[in-house]
Amino acid sequence: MLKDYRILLAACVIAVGAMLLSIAKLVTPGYKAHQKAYAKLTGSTDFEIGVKQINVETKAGLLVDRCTTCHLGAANADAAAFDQPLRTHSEICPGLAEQPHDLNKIGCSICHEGNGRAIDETDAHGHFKHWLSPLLVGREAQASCAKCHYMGAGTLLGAETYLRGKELFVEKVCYACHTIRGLSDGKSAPELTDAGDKFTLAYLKESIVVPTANLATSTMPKFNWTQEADTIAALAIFLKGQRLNKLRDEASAPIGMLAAEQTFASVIEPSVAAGEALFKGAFSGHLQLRGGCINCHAVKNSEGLVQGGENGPELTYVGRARSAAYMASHIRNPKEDALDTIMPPFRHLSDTEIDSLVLYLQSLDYTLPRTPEPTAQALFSNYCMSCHGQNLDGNGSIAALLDPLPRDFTAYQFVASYKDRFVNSIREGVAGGAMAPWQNILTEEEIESLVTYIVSTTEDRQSRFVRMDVSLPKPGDPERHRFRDETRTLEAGDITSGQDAFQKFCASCHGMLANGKGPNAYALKHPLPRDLINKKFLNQSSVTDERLYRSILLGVAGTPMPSHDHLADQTILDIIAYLRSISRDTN
Amino acid sequence: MTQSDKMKRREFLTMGSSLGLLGVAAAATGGAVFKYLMPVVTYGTPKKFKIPKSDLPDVGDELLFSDQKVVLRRHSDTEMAALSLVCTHLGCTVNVVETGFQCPCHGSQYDIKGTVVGGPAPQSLAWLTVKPLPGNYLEIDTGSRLKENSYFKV
Amino acid sequence: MGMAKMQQLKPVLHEFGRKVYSTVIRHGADNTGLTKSKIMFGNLFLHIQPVKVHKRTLNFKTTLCAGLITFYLFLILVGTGVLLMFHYVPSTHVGPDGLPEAYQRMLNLRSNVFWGVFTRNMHRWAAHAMVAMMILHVFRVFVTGSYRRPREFNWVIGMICGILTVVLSYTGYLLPWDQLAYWGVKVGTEIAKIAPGGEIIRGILLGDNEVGGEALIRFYVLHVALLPTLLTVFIAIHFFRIRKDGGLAKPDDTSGDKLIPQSECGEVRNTSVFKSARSYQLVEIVKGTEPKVNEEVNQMVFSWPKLMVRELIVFVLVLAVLSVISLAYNAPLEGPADPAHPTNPSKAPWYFLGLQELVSYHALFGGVILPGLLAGLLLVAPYIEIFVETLFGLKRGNISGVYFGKERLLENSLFMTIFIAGILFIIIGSLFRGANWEFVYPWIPTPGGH
Repeated sequence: MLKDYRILLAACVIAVGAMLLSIAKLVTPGYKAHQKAYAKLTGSTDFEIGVKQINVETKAGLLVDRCTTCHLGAANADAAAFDQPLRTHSEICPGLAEQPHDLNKIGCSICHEGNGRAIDETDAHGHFKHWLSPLLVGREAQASCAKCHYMGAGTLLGAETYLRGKELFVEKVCYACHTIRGLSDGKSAPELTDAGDKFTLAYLKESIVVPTANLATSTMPKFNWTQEADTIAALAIFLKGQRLNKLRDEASAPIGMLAAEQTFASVIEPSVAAGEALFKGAFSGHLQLRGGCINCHAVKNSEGLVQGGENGPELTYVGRARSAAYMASHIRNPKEDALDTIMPPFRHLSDTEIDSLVLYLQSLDYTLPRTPEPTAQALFSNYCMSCHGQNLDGNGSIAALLDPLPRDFTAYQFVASYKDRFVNSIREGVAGGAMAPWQNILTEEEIESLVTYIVSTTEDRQSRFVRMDVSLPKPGDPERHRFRDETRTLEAGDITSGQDAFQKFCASCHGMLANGKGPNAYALKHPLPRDLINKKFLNQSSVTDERLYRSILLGVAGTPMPSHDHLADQTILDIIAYLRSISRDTN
Repeated sequence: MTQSDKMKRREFLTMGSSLGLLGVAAAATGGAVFKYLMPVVTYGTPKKFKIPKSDLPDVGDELLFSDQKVVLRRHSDTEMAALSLVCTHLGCTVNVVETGFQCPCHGSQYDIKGTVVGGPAPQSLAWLTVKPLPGNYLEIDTGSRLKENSYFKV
Repeated sequence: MGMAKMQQLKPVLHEFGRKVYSTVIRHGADNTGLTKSKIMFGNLFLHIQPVKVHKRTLNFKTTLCAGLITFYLFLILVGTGVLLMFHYVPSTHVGPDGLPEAYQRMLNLRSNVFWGVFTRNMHRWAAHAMVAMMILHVFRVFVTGSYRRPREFNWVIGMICGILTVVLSYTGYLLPWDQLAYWGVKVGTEIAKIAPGGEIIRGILLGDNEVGGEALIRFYVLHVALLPTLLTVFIAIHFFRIRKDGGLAKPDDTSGDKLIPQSECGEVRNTSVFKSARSYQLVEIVKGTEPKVNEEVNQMVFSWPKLMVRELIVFVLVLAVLSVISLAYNAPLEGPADPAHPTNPSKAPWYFLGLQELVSYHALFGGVILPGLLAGLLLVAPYIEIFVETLFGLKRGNISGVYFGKERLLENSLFMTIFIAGILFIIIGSLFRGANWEFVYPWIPTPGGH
């Protein structure tokens, strides 16, 4: 029996020890030391040690705030010299004789977030996993002003960083893709009206700097101002302030706000200067212009100095390459001309504003100096490199977000097979994408020398590749595949069978919708499967049925598109008929 | 002592100390459960509330806190009174009237200093403790009850 | 004078004290068999146990203590659960800080309530442990064949207790109303959809089309009122039947067992004129059989004190282990439940992960037919055995009480196959499944966003 009793005693020791330890951890709360220090500093003799609590009545219910358990001097003007956590809160509205926020009534966590009910530092400051609203420190707390203050076009003393963020939201062209109700109506990206409810400040910052960090499929550009810590901070604070669930309704909102609708500057008379201001997203008077093209597009001034972002094609030459009508329509509805562009539509721009932008683009006159005569390489560097890349591999600085991707000329099979088309592509451009017609900018000799240059880079290897030559069979011709029926002859392509065949043989890469986004497309790098509902591309004169037939039967040289010689000619004709039917211009 | 007596003694001691420890555990659990059940977050109006000294009324004026059911009156330049507005009869909130206070529930009447002058109220309205806090604040404790005419100095 | 009065009063007080004591405890403090019997059957809580038990009962190996530990965990769960109820509100009402009430209450437990974290930890870990110990108990009873005659029906009662335990744990899983809880329960209810009639059960359980405020209240009521009551009743029946079925199952011949020597089980003084006090031998003249008749009387020892002390040891050990775990590991609490943002992967509580793993292969077969069939077979296992024995005219006698007995090779092989497969599926589902339910190795960290 004694053995049993001894085991029992040992178990009792462990159990009681653990239980007492669990209690001992709790009996000396951390705030006691702060309260004793505060009592000593203020010379208060009958200071009551205990949890201090502020109950804040809001329309959504009671908010429990116990931050003042440690932050005892927050509302005490005499505590300015104390160490944190006992120090006086700095002026919320600097310069006002009477501060409008009574910290004894509103507490701390309304502005600074964190976990107001907690009395342990880590817990209260929200520095633990899964906590959605960690402490907002210093100016970050401005994200909370909009919880009570309704800010239309007005300003608010003390909310400078927040307001700067709002300006930046327009200046940095965020408004074009993201909707924030009352401010913008972009439809190309997630709405941010309640971004502050959904995301932490750190998450917002990270998503601005590296858009793919939290959403792998994001097509948001990486802007060239993401190194500017202040810009990012102000934008993130502004976004953190976007909430649907406010503590006050508009009627009972405190002063310091102007409920007027946000208004923007507009251009009355089309002019180059106005166009430039729009392009750069500048202020016109005290009102902001809703432009900001420069965040994505770069331009060269007359001296050839580049300025602007690297998320879209450089626009120095676009005024000469494209017609005014094309530019205007492209600004209003970019998908009309380039189906897969990430550029959002700028429908809010008035005719005068668009005219100004066109005028500005047409005013750009930089051309690579022709004396002395530039080398082909210099021509390529100036006109082609930003898209096609220094190594001609189609990975130029702005290539990542283009769709279709710029052509990769290091694939010598491609160059060997299609070099005859190059002159035409440069001269006329490639419809449905970013490749502009260059005939108005480059001379015929320059185009020739560029083609020669491109071809020459892989010349040594081109001889290793010979592409077969086939011609498009016509209805009535004999079927190439004769394993079923010796006597069968071809008929005109049938759209329905073509669609079936497409779903069977093409959809894995080109997608069920033929938009080039099939499941296998995600495994491909460069070039991506062709978007076959891009009408502009398919309807240009150089894309003939014969070209489609060759591309299907033989594959596209130097790309992942494989040969499909297992398909009967009739099937290929059906597929071509189907493709023509979905890309037919209905207008 | 025989061998078996020794054995018994040992068994008794071990068992006894185990049970003692379990007793300690039970007591500790009891204490912890007691604290566990003590209110920590008060969702109602707190018993104590803070006002800045600058808010105090002038002589003859009064400051009414309807949520906390307290009236603050200045008696003289240096003396203030904090009176509870909770009727001592059955806890209704009394109305401030010209003659003093009157309870709407059962008609208790108090004079200007909270002394009962009529009705069923058993004792005068409570005079409350007021404590200066660091940072020019006063804390009024609505749960306290001082004797009548307990003015506080400002 | 006072002294003298006190001297006179002393025997009176002594006598009074003795009388009061005898109203509460009616037995003496000696070592006679009579007192030892009285201790056991004179006490409501102790008289669940028999006065005398077979010495095998005292061995750890006989039962692995699994059933007893399961019961102790239930007691601890009731205790901590009642405490948690004081601070909990089953409401999804969103407060000014954007947090649902139920979740706020979890935060209160963590941030404000004295001993709140410890209480919640105890409750959480005890709940997981109870399911695990229940499974171990089922394992022990099966592989020792302890459900054979006359304990067939008690096996069914036990299985009902087991199902109630799992449902209790599952309903409690939702109550913190965090992401883990919400999506764990959500996944479970999606599995229910597959079953025929699952929509109806789901509707009754959730009170809505989706897991929401209504479901929270229903789960709460089930968790704190209905299911604990049912489980208490079934545990009572289970214990009662153990007594009526003659205690623990044992083989006919226990001479080979290593049993505790009589001297270790507490001294018994015999003051009776009879050398033996086995009065129940008299009932042998009555017609019919009684389970207790076949006992090896010479192997029986008094429950007091040996069995009681050992049971106390198990209880304190359970308490000790749980307290240490609760001190070291906090119960998980993720962000508040957000129906718009599923966690990836969304995993059900661990005991359902084997099921979730099966569902990932085939919804109807893996999620309903196979587990339904297995649960059904397990529930009526003793009767299947009786049926097969009757069918083939087998007369196997008493083959209970031995682990992996030779005579039960077939039954045990079948059971072990299913049991090990089940555990493997649970392990795969818990550890080897990552985002999108893709196979991952738990020791290779997967890159993740927020």
